[in-house]
Amino acid sequence: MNLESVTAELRPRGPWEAMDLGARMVRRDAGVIYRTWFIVTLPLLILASLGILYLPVPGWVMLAYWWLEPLTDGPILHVVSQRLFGGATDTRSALRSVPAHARRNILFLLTPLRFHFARSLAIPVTQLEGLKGQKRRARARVLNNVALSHGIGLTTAYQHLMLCLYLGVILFGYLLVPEAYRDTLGSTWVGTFLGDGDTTTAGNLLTLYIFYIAQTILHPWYVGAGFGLYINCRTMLEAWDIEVAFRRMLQRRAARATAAAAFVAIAFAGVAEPGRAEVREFEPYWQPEVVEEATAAVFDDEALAQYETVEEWRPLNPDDDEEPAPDTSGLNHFFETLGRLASVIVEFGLWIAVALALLFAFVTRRRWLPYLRYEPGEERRPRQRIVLDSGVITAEELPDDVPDAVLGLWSRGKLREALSLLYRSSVFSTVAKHGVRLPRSATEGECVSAVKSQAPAALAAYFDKVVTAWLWCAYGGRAPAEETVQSLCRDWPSHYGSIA
Amino acid sequence: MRLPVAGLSSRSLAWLIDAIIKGVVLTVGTTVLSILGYFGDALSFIGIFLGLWFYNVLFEVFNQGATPGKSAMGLRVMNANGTPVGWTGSMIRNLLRAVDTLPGCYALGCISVMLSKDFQRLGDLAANTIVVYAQNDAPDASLRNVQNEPVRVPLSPAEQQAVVSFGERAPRLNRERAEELATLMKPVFGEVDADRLRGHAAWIAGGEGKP
Repeated sequence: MNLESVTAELRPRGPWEAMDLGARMVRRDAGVIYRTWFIVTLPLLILASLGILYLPVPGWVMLAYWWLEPLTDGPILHVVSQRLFGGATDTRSALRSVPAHARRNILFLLTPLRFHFARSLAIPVTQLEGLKGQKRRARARVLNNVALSHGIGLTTAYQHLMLCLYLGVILFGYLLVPEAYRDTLGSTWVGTFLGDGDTTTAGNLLTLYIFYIAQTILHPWYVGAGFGLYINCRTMLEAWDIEVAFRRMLQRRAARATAAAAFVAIAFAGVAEPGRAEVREFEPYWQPEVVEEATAAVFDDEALAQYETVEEWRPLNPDDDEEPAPDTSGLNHFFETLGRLASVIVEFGLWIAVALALLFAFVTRRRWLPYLRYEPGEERRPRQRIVLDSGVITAEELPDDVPDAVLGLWSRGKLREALSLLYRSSVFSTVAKHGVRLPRSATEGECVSAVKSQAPAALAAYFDKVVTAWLWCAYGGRAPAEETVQSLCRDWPSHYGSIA
Repeated sequence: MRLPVAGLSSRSLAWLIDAIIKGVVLTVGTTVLSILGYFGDALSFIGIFLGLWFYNVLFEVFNQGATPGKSAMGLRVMNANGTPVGWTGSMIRNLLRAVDTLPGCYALGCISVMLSKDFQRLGDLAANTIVVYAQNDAPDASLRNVQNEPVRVPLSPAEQQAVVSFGERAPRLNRERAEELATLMKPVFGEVDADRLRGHAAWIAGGEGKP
């Protein structure tokens, strides 16, 4: 195992995030995984179908098919792990791995492990590492210390989602039955699966196939998610990410000084291959009691009980609410009367609320009616409000006689204000009187180029002069000569007339 | 900013927890209200309507994107750009639950989460929201009581980070592995074992290691 060729970012993740990483790995190689999946499972499915058709014990055949599910885990794990450690994956090599994986711990895989609550977390230990007996137990204990409850959570989610998809397919079939045939065909369809005493061969086959659909969608995901959890445990427990970072650190130094290379080689030689060599009894280094507490907390969590609770839960069924029998005993009668009284009051209250809401809507119609009306953009002109990069211009803030106001400000020494007013009035009038369209939040430069492309040359030249004067003053701190301002003001009416 | 999106397992378990809470509350509520006869039934129906349609919306808007089930699983809903989810986004994603539930039992939503890039169900895609793992920003205190060992060699920020994470996680490694990793670092730090390397980590984490 070479940690440096790993094709995913190794770091300790939260357990759920690790499962998602595993799911993404399955998605990355979905093509190979599903080709392998169908090649492995379709013969089993055909065998099971034949068994249902020709054997007198269809229930046992279905159970056997369900039981053999772990046989497909090996190839999925093979593809995902090969890819994670930088190896090539194709369908052929995945298929070649099937017999080897099947021979590995086959008895254990199909007996205790089949019913393991955190099966997908435990499978990589037997199928990828090939551990048995004492070693397997030691490894399993280490993994369970860290992630058993999350492994169980994953299995819980898997089982429920299987149920969801299984029921989903059945309900989808029911939805396709036309309304008129709901009572006949529809109830036959549903009855087929509920198995009202006598399940037919067709019912058994359909059950098998629908289970197969749900399994096809979810099983690779489940195995991949468990693999992600497993990899995350080992990354945390064996600090894979730290080893990668340390080796990079060494490489950087080796690259810098060739003399250091010899050192690194010695260091590498002295390091045992991680992975298999790491299977040892878990010896907490500094704080064993912390780990023990955490383990105890996991088991006190009653995660198993949660599983039971979930299975028992049924959707709220309104039919279960018993119709309270007409009871004339004192207290019940009192509540009955109270309820009736309250319902009359509330009913009137609701109608009054509706009336008030309508009244309110009518009174405030001026506010909201315009929003319902269709208003093409062209009709809105002359616009009363222009949004520029530097602020908003409204008609109200502009004086009737712009040149007069500008010169007034200028003569009082407010040069910046004067030029600002001139600029803003010009922009406003260009839009209002000449119909030039500006982009929203336009800057000075954008105004100039818009005017150049949409207005006559004379106007554009004048506008350019105004903007230049304003820019020099505002951003350059250089006021124009007084004659320039006077000439700009003189020419203003010839381009824009008056504001009003 | 890192937004680790949450996938099928955590989200479906969060949904289960919420479903159990809703189920319990509505069962208890309707049972109690049924004392009041038809008026109680009317209140029950209003309660069921509000509970089923607004349970998620109200929690998501007022509890930082997390219903009780989601906070139990460490999840929160966010807009895809990382901003908190608002009324519009939450309403859209929860109204479209009706679609995700099709044909019953959330089959569509499940498949959508499996296939979409950021594990979004159809409601999330419509509202442009994602479900992410809430980040735990609590600083690791495990280096606080470790004897500092000054570092005499220059280290890049990534290398400092590696040494610090060794120091933080060494107590949870088994002894041989910790020593093995420390041995790796001999060319850099000279004679060093796991304890000394932890000391270096504490010195860096103490803020002394900035180059």
